[in-house]
Amino acid sequence: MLIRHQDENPIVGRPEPRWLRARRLAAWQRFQKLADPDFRYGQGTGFDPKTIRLPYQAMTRGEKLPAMAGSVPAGLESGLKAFPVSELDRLWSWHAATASRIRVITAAKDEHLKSPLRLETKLLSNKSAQELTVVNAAAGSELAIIEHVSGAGERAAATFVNAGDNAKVTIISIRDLERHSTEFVRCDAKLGRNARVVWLECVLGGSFASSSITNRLLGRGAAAVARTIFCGSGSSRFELTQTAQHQADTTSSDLLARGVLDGAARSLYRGHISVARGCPGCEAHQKEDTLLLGERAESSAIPILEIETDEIECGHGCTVGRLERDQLFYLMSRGLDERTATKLLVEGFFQPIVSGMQHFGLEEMVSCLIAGQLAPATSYPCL
Amino acid sequence: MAKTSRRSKNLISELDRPDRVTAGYSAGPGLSQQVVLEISRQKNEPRWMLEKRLQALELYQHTPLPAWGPDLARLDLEHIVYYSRPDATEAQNWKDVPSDIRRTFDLLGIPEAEHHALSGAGAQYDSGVIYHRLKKEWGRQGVIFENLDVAVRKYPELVRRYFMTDCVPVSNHKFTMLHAAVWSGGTFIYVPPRVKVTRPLQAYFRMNLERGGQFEHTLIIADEGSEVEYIEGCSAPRYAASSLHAGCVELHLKAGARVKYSSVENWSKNTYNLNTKRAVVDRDASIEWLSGNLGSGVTMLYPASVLRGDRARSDSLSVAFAGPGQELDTGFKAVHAAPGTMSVSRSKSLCRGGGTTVYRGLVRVTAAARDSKAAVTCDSLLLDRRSTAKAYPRVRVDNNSSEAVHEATVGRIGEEEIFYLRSRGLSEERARKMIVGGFVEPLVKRLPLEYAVEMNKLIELEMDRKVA
Repeated sequence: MLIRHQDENPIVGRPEPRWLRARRLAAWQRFQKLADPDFRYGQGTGFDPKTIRLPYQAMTRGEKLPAMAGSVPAGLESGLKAFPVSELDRLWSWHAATASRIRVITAAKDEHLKSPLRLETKLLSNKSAQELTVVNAAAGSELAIIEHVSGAGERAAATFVNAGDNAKVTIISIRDLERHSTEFVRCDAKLGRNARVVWLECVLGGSFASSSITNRLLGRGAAAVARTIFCGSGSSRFELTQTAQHQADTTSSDLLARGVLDGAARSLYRGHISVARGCPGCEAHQKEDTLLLGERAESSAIPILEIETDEIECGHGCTVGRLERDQLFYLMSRGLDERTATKLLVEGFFQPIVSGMQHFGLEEMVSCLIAGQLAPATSYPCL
Repeated sequence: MAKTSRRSKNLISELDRPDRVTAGYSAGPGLSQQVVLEISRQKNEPRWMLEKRLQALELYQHTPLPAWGPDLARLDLEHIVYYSRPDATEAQNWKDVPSDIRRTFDLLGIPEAEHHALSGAGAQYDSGVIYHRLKKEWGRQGVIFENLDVAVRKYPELVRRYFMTDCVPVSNHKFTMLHAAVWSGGTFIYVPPRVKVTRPLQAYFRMNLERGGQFEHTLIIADEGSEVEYIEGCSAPRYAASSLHAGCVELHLKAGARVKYSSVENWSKNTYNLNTKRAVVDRDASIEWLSGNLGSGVTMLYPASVLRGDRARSDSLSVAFAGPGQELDTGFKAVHAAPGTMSVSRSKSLCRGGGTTVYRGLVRVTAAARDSKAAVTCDSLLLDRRSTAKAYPRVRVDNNSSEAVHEATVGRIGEEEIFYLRSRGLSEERARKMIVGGFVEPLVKRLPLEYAVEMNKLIELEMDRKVA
């Protein structure tokens, strides 16, 4: 199944329902009231907010709520109910009020969608896109979504997942935007009893890419997995957040991010695991690794743990480092040139995450996209 | 074993009990310019120090409380007594120290330890230093070990050059401003080039006054190629009202110097311990931090190493134990600002009875610090369901030839570990204590013997304490 969206083809909607108008209005009021997101997280971590172009910058405070631009698919109201606008910051309030391309993907009770849904989005220059995707996976259902975003432009996209009891949802997102693009991506999942949500994300290029994955484990035995690859060169900047909130017993989460930064690329990773009081038997792990290839590349990590119960197994870690010189020397002594050897090592570095996409036939595509991000061998004097 | 345990219990209850000592001078509650002028006048300080105090006071009055970290709302800064000098002058012989003041130090065995194992010892009571002595052999080699109040007058150039300048600037945060305005007592150590002080120097700080504030300043300058070990211990009696400890430790390590700084802080449970400790480390020098944080209601303490010389090294090991009602917010900061620098930080925390431990750390590798390495591990052990462990580390690397690693785990004592020890005939309580003992052992075995024994006992007692 293939759902294709292109910039030049917006869907013109029917009359806006009252509940949606009320939600958009509440979001718009928040947008008018709140301060801009800061992007700075203390102790020299984060980005200077003045250097980040927010997608609503052309708007001024005091403007009226714009008219609804898209159509209203079935299942939107029930899907959004679990995600009130009162939890959104200024950027996402603006998004909630103005999102125009709305998709709802629904899997009925015990329905297994055998082949993955493919969503293709191509941005066209100088246009901004506000996408909203709602996934309603009813109890016992199973579905997978593959999203590929390419092109150049400004993008703000939110995905809300309601995973019912025993539902299994896999979402793969591959985003290779061109150099001058900016994107803000937000993924939120609420997991019921024994539900399982897997996020596989590949963020490549762009001048600024912000991505946040939040899993709320609300039902006993729920499990969330998040895997993020990020790779950039030039002056690309990445802000990546992975969150797991354990609010029921015997829930588990596994967060992993791996990145390679070339040129003067910069990254900030924030991992956040919280286990609420009275939720025993939880298991939570988080790991982030960054390789710095470029001489002016920089990387920061803020992995946070907040644990309020003792019967748990929990750990986090982060590393920032360079390619192993011994490994590079070994490969070059076998006749590989430096560029090929570096690419091989970077490929190996990403393998644990890329192998998760094998089942969907995406491994080769992702490897090629990553290789395309790396600059020629002359830029690695450190090696 | 039962006998030693009973002795330790007595010691702790004795330390929690205030001494019946009359103050020689007390500034009364609250902070004003008059209090600062009076402190400076009583100490007969040079003009530059008074100016520094007044500038700090001005800054302090215009700076808000930190918006992050533990809640400081119950810290009543209006009613703290910022300066209280005991009715005793500084002695060079324990016999000359008034017996009611000496009681605490006798209980801790400091005079005995000084005789057998130390190169010198100092003791401070509230705002005043009541004892200070350095063994003659070190004095002959040019080592200076003084009460900082005395050092300001005796070695003005050294103190003026290093006191709250480039290590901990006055404007660092609200409590360094407060400290700079009302600091009193503390230790000044200068070790000349290539002198290796083979036995440790020690200072002990006792805060006796209700609603008291203690603001001692430790300034250590280890000149090129020198070595010194310094140990600090702290305690305070238990009152209904909160007291405040806002000390400051500045360590200057010149090229090739080695300094080992150990501290065991056991403030009573109503003390706000808002301390600042930092070392600036030059080329090939090496700093070792050991710290045990047991007492206090709220602690905010993040020792920092600024590695500014090539190949400078820093090693830190700390243990924090939070019992009922305690919030220990501790951590370690390493700033790598020169090539080939290395830092290792290990932090261990335990909490029980609803206590909270927080690790808040920073590793910053600048673009200039090529080929540097930084490693941080922090492990938390939750001893019951009501307690909380949090970790907020930050890692930032700005060059592509360095490596930084951070790792943290949170867990509880495994059932199988308890089962194994019980199958060897130990009671469950004994087994739990033994596992906790093993958890903190890396710190304990590196502390001087008398501190190691006390540390073990304090942890056992904390585990025995009934939940309030």
